[in-house]
Amino acid sequence: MLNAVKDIMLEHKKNYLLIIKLAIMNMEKQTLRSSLGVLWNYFHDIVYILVFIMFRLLISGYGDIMGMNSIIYLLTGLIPWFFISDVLNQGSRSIKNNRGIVQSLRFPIVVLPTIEVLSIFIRRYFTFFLLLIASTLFGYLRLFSIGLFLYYFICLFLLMISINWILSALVAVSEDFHQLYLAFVRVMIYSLPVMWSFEKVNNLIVQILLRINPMVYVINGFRNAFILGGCPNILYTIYFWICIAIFTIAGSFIQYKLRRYYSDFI
Amino acid sequence: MEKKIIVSNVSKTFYMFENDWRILQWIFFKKGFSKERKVLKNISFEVNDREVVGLIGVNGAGKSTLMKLIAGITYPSDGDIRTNGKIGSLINLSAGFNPEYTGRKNIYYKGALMGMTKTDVDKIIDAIIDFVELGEYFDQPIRMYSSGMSARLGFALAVFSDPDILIIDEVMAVGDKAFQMKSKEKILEFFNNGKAVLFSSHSDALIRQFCSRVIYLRNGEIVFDGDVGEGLELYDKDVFSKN
Repeated sequence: MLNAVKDIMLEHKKNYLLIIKLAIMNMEKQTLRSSLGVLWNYFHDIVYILVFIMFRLLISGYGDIMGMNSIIYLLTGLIPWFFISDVLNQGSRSIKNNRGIVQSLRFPIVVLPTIEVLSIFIRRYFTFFLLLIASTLFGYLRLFSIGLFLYYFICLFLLMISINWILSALVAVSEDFHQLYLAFVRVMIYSLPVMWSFEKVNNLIVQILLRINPMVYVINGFRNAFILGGCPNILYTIYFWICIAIFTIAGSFIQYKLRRYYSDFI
Repeated sequence: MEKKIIVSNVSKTFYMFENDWRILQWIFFKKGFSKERKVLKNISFEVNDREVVGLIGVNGAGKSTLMKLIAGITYPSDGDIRTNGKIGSLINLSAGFNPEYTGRKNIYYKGALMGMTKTDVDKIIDAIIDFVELGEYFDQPIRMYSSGMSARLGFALAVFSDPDILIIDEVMAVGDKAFQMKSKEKILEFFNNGKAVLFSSHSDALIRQFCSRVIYLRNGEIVFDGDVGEGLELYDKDVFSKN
């Protein structure tokens, strides 16, 4: 098991320049034909956010949600969710969609999922800036917020990379898994505190069950970063990092096991 | 004389499954396949530098699988393959190209995929432009190319990346006649520079022209390894006796 982790880490260390280079190229790839290029991505995000906020304001009016300005509340949920949903949808196909590379080039396939997550991150960094700007405008930004913000940012990044190692491998070899998984991803946003807060659930057991998903830690964290005294809960933090460790070990193990078979089964 | 490729007791088995769940079950627990097909059985041979080895055999004899194994694209089920030096593989020439990139950018992109740095590619880009003769197409997206043109690009990149071992899988018929002549010359240059070439083709003429030795594969086994004329004769005899 630990050999697998070591092996995968070494592979990443050896190829780190390649990972960065390909992540940047990967990002350009999708928008190369359009006149605005990467700007289209920003446009998509802004439209999505605006519609979302309008919808929310129409339903419940402008005001506070759980003691927080509703616009900041929605932004702090939506922006990490963009990143999460991109990784779950596109990142998970990172090996499957690169059939050409897998089947005809000698290439360290284990770095493909990492490249995809990194390129999603590069494409999305703009939205995180947007969040910082908005929180400054609404007077939520303090020095300690920025510190926490960076911390949760790293959390999110590590979480999505380790999850993507597992997902991309399983999706690559098994179409059945892919279909099953897609069914869950589509409804996942409702299980996360993006549009609603868990405090509204009266049942404590349900609240705890919902929090099993470590993504909840990150989304709540981004939100709490902008509330004074919103330091991370120690127990939940420990749980989160145990999750990261488990996902990293499991992901490395699966990648390590499967890499000999990708070219046979894709 | 230096050994460039050492293949010892290599077998490759492909497994077939009723459904995709079984693949996962098999990978982790080694059970659950419905059928197995041994594509290569206990193959052993060596290739030295300054040798052009031809692989012959009917479709499905295991030539492509063997080449992919040596190129490090797939892994053997059993046995060991050692290669000594950088491998250039001409297996699927347009693989790894991105249709939206220009020819120039694709050279850098695929070069990166092959493990080359930007400066590495900078050094050979002029030679490639010269060799592929694509003219103004070179700076246009390769989705505009004909299949022959993108194959030429792939061929050029593989040969100019200066491999020590070249693996060529039935792609010598790339491009038009003029380009074929040029690629033949390039392959001969490899031979003269003391590199090892492994070469599969269905053209007797090409095999005779290039190879110093042939390996004849039948049903995943080496039936003959040696003199070109003798090997081709044996192959012909097998084919005709079947008809």
